[in-house]
Amino acid sequence: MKKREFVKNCLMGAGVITACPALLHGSPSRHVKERNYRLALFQEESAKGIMCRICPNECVLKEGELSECRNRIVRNGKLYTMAYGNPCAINLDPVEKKPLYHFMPSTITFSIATAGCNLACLNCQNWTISQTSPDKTRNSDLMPGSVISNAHNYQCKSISYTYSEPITFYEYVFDSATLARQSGLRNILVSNGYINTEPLLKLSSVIDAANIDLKSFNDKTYIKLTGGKLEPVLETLKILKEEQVWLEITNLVVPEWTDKMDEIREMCKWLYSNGFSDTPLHFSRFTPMYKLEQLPPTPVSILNRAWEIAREEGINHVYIGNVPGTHACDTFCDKCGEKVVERRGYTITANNIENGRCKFCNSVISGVWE
Amino acid sequence: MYHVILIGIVFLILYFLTLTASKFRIITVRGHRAFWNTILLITFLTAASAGIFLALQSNYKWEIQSVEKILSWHVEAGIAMSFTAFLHLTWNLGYYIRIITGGGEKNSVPVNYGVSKELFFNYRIMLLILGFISGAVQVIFLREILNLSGGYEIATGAVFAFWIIISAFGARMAGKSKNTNLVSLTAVLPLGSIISLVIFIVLSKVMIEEGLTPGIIYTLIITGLSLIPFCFLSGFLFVRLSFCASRETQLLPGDSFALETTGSMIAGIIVTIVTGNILGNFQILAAAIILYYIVYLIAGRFRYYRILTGIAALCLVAVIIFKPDTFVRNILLGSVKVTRSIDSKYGNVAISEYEGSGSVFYNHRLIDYEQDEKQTEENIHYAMLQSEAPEEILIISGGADKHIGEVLKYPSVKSISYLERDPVLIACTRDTSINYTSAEVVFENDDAFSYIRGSSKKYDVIISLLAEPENIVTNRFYTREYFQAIKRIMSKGGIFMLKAGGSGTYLSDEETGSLSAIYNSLVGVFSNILPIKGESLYLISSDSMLNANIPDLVADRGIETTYVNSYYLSRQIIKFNSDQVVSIIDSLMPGNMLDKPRAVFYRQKHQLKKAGRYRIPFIAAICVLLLIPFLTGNNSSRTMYSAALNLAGTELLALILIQSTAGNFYQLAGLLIAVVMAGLAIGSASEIKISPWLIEMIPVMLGFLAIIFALVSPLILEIQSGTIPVILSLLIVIIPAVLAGSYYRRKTGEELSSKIISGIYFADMCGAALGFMIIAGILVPLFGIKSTFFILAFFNFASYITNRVISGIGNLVQ
Ligand code: SF4
Ligand SMILES: [Zn+2]
Repeated sequence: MKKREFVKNCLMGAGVITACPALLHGSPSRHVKERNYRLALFQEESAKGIMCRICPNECVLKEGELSECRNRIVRNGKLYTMAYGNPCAINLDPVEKKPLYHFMPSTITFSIATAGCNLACLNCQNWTISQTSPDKTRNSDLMPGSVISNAHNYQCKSISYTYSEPITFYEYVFDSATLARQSGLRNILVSNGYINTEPLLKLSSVIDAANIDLKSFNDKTYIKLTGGKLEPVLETLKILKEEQVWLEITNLVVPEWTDKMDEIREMCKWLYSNGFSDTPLHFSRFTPMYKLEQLPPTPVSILNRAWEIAREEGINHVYIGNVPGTHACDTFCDKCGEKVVERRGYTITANNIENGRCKFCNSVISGVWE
Repeated sequence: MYHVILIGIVFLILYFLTLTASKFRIITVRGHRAFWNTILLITFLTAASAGIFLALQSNYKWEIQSVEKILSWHVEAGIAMSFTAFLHLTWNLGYYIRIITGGGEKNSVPVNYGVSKELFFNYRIMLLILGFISGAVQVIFLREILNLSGGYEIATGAVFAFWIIISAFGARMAGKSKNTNLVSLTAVLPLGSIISLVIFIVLSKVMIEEGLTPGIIYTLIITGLSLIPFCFLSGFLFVRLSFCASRETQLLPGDSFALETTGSMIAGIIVTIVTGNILGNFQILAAAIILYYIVYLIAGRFRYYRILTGIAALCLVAVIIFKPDTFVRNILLGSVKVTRSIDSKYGNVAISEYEGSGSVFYNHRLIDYEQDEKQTEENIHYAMLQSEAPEEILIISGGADKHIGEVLKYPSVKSISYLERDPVLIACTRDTSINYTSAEVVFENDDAFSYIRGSSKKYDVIISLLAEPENIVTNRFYTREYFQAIKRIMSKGGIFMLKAGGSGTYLSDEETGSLSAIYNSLVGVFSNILPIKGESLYLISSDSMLNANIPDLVADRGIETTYVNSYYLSRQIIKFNSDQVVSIIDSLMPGNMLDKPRAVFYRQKHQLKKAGRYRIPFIAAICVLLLIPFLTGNNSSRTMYSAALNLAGTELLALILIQSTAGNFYQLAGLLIAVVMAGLAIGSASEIKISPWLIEMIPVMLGFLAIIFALVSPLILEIQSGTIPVILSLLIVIIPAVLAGSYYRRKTGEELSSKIISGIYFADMCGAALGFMIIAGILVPLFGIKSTFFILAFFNFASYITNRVISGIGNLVQ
């Protein structure tokens, strides 16, 4: 899609935005209503209480207790999600902002999130919703059916489950994604990848693309920075690939925390040897956020070095994010080396991919281009 | 990894605690030594047996699973043993020196520092320098703790409260102690400040991860632990000095209080004067300690006092020449390499580098960095694009060159005024080799409020990039009064833009509260307001129409930009976000005003949320702790308590009045504090006979005064000229200060007992701490200045009535 089309799409979207703003902004409710409680999937009874098996935290909860992700609770001996049909954030985003560079470029995605997250990153951009519970946020009433109709109304091609952590509002994601598929929309998961195998396999059946945060390649840093472990995230990457979900990986380079070049090299080596050489890798620039305020933003020179290392280690599509004006945002054909997609910001300024193939040498450029 | 530093700190703190306890006779010296001998024995046995085991394992190649664990036990115990041995060495040092110098063991008589107590002691001087060092250390520590925590009022209040609680505890212990060895106590006091500083630095490194801003709980833990040595000692020493002075000389406790206060006042003034680019924080601390010792040595006339004074003077010169500040700042701001640290009158500027990329930290918060086109362009173009052909531009703060460069992309611009309060900030965000030719560029060095009130020029675009309303100081630039002043200097149809907080995907209730207060203040002044969500949330205001179609505006005007253009931004998404922001504004929320800084309340609540679940019980617990003297004390301590709370509250309210009218907070704050101290000193030193009846009526007088202040405060706010409101605000604090000082003098002078002195002092401090905390953090932001004065009045009356009732019951019982 060219710039003109992108603008046209946006214009059409705008017509609808002005037509029905009340739906999205109208009287959001602070309370979790009865219909927002749904029986949680992947629960098990154990001697110490009800266990949630969605993510590696495997919370075991007693009656009335709130989960670590703050949106699941035990009522009458059963685990319920409180985050079903009550998103607190609804937005329209260019798909490139997720970031997804090889998935339906230049389209707008309908983004939703409820409160809750299974990690507690020190630098969370969305901490006002990730570190709280749905009963403390202003929520819109948007059951899966309405998610789909709104996405259509706004001329979106996909729905993104994003911002906080979609793994924790699993049931809502799964039902919305199932309906979306039926109505011709694609589904995007923007996630920390901290999920157990079985729930992930089920979710993969309805998800088309995912951007997974690989926050560090050092287990100790992972725990300190996020409260989670590295291994389950690596496992998630492998499963998504096997399940043929389009995958892109984001690595936020945080000064002093995740900017060690040997670790970045080790990460790229692992990606290469596990078959991720064609998976786009985005190195993203950190800016002081949430609890990590006494740090400088990542120097662009460090991001450039990370980019070079990834290329040296055989990763074909490497990008730098959050640095306006960077040249590391174009896509090159890994066979003939020609520039196949030229980007500026979230816009494609030249596109040399036809039917998913390089115009110059006809080889396949990995991605979902239409 | 072995825990060398952790074990070291734990042992040092433990050692200091047992040593202090023994010095203050809480435990015996023998008990202290027995404790450390036992530790030495345990660590020795652990290290030795683990060592033997490891040797055998290595010799005979035993296959043992947990050999790593044993090795770590061996090493950790070894570390512990080494530290204990070093500490052990300190009390046997004389013995080893005598062996080395051949002096033998015969001289076992304790050395009394070479002087007799009578010769040495001059209570007046000692009280004065005690006040001096306490004042200096307090200012320096408060600055550093605020750098650590982010400088929110509630944190400031809580930190101050902690300071006072520990000093008060020291004072309380002094009431129980019989220690009269004031020579050594006064000698170790400055060492307490060094130990406090070391603990502060080490704890901030050990407890806080790199780059992390600690929440309120961590801040208080670090503050509490690091202040223990100094505050405990100073509180203890004051009461002991005060008691001994009243017993041995004619000095009444009230006089001691006046002397100590005067010392603090002198320190406050000196620190304020030398801070402005002359000396760094840590230089000042070092200099104050050395000065203390110079006075101490001269006053004591020790055996070699001339030589020692000379050495001290040389140290002073060395401290001034070799600045320790960059070194210490480097440790504190560990994530970057600090190349220069400057303490200006307004804050600490640390110029730093990370992997070759420069950044500037102001009070440990990042304010400027390389390659930030996104933010710089947003800061300028959203506003500039709204004006057809802008000519006169005013940029308030945010960094000089980079913003001026963006403004100069508009060919119509004729002049740019760049306004910044802190000259150091202009200097480090400006390249003096750049010669602006296409337009006139003027650098102004003034407070934004007073500049705007005094300016006669008209501007087409005014862009305010000042810090967000996180505290009462910065809140001024987000009030209706400020917006009205801005409008006065805007040309017809001019544009004004400010940053109103974060722009995350979801604005929390607290962010929405603060935003609504600011937005509603703008609504009363401008006819159109357009929110734009970028890196920050920008509010653009004007009486002309505003246009959200930024991408088209940039293209039409042909401005070359990296980020603010159609490649990154879409009109529709800007409009969508803008509508979303407007839809969450609470239109019923009253506007943010000078005397009702609502935005601060919500911003602070928002920041506090980062501290996690236990923040509210934690703060509540501190408040309850501070209320103890009021609830459990006798009538005298209750009255002292309410007088101190009233004074702290009035001081704060006067400070807000000064900021709001004269707009010059930093320098005048020093003046105000000096006036308060002087009032206290006058009250506590004056010989005027006041009838006991009148003394008991002090809370009632304070209550009526508070009512009068409540009624005049709105009038003061209306006066536009700077000097009259300042004089009135200074007058407001002096009477409560004199009354509080007199009460202290009468009550401590009634009966000579260190228990009474310490009890009253304790009540005084707790009252002041609670006053600062709740008034700055809660009452003023929620109810405004006028109502807070009324609440103070109510509190004073309540205190009087409680006393009457309790006395009445007491009389009945008798
Ligand atoms: S999804 Fe939530 S409730 Fe389930 S295990 Fe993870 S953190 Fe616990
Ligand atoms: Zn090709």
